[in-house]
Amino acid sequence: MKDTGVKLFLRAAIARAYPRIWGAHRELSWIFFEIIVPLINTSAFVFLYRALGAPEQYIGFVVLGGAMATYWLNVLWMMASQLYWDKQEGFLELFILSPVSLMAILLGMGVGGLYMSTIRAGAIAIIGTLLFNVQFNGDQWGFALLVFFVTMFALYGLGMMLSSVFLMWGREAWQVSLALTEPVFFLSGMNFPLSKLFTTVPGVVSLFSALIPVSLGLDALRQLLFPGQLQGVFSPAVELGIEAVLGIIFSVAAYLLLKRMEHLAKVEARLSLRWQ
Amino acid sequence: MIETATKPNISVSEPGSVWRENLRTFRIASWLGWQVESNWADPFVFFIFTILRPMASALIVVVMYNVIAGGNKGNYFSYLFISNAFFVLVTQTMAGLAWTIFDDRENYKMLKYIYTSPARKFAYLIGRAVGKVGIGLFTVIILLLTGILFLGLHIDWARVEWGWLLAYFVTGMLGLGGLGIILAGVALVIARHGASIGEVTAGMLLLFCGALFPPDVLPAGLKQVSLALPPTYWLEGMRRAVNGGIMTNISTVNGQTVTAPISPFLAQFSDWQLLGIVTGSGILCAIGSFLFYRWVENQAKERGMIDRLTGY
Repeated sequence: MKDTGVKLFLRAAIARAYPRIWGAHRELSWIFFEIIVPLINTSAFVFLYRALGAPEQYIGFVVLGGAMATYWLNVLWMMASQLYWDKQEGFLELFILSPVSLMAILLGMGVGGLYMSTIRAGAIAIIGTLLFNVQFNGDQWGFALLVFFVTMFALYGLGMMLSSVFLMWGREAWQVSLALTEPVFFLSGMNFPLSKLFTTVPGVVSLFSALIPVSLGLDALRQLLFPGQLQGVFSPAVELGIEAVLGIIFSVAAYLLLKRMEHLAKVEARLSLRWQ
Repeated sequence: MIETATKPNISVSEPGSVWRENLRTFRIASWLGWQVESNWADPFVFFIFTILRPMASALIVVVMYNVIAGGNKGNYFSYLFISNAFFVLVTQTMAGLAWTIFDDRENYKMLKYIYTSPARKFAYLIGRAVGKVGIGLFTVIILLLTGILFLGLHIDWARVEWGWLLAYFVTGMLGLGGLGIILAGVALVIARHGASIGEVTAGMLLLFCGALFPPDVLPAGLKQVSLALPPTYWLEGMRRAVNGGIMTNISTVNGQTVTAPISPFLAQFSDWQLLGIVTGSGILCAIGSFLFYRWVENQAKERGMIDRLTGY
């Protein structure tokens, strides 16, 4: 008997997550490129702070930011633009032809991507901590873990929402992904305390920054892991609440947008349109 | 009546025809590269997307500087901003050339057709990357203007040494282009990472070539790596030319004001020595890259890699 309903949805999600989870260990060169290279970038900012004579806790902020950057890159390149890649490679047509929901595909991509990124981010955090002698305070690790998971829920919800928008695009998808890399690193305060950004940029930019789940999530994590060493934008509890609300909004919006964009893409014959 | 077939006029051995073919290929490839880069959006959107990334990178270092130094825009700020602006050219040139191979082979799947056409492959490769380099140059100018107008960067136009700037720029681009062609050659024969090899190398250079901090800050082993890289000297040359001399920092030691070079090691070199290093390494890179690409191209043909698809 064939699977239907929830069982089919879950099987499709597991099937899509499987290559990502398996691939996270299989391709050693990927591990090199995705751990060593971000670590080198993080090191550049660490040395910049050292050259400026910054207090030691800033080194910890940069290392934590470098680890969180891995999740954003994963969401951007392996969630948001994944359906664009699938279209280029001809897989998207197959997904649409099969009886599974695209939401299940996105969920599988998200779970697999989260696992993949956690290995990379963990390695960056551990190596960075050892290399630069970062002192974390683990007194509130349970709360920090909760903040982390809720941030990931919001972040991957945003990734699912973006991927539905990217479904419509051709080469713009590639350009948008490129354009969302460094600007988001800037807006989310990956390399400096978010409160410093909020006090220097106009309010509308701060609002835009707050809508990126990594921003307030990272700010809360820094407050919990480096207590008393920085002024947060809000308290960690408030930031946790905002992340939870963002997560729900992004997930619902992803579902609705996906339906809409899939329909539009069919109407405008964009599902199999390549190289445009 | 049977018509006599006309023999095609193929002038393979005409004097100068090789250069003409190279120039023609270069011109067409440049146009193609520019179209690929720019025709996905209208000019305004394209302009915004072009400057968004480098502008954000510049703003990151500006905020990092401000967080520590406050509103005091000292000479180190100029060092940081000018280096970071010119580093865009390092990324665009190196990543642009390597990306060409991936883009044509795996994205548009056109590389095999280029190889089966009479186009000059080396001229095609360089021409195809011209668009990215042009965009990089334009971005540098926009970044410097933004820095001067809005971010507190101070450049004294009367002190800018235009002759040195041109000399460093031309010789430096020769070296960066050579390194980019080497990366393009590597992209031709490696699987899967051809797309990212340029960006990855540029990312590594961010740490090693003194774009954000002087090489003197690095631990001994890493400092040696930094000093072995031509872009380290090129960036120093560009900074000096824009600043009108060696960049110095003013600090107070035991109540006395002390002026010292931001990079004491690089300050040991005179302008002519620096230009000699940049020119020498540029010529070496250019010749080496030509020979390397020829060799790697043959390897790729022998192993059937010209039309290989490895992206997933």
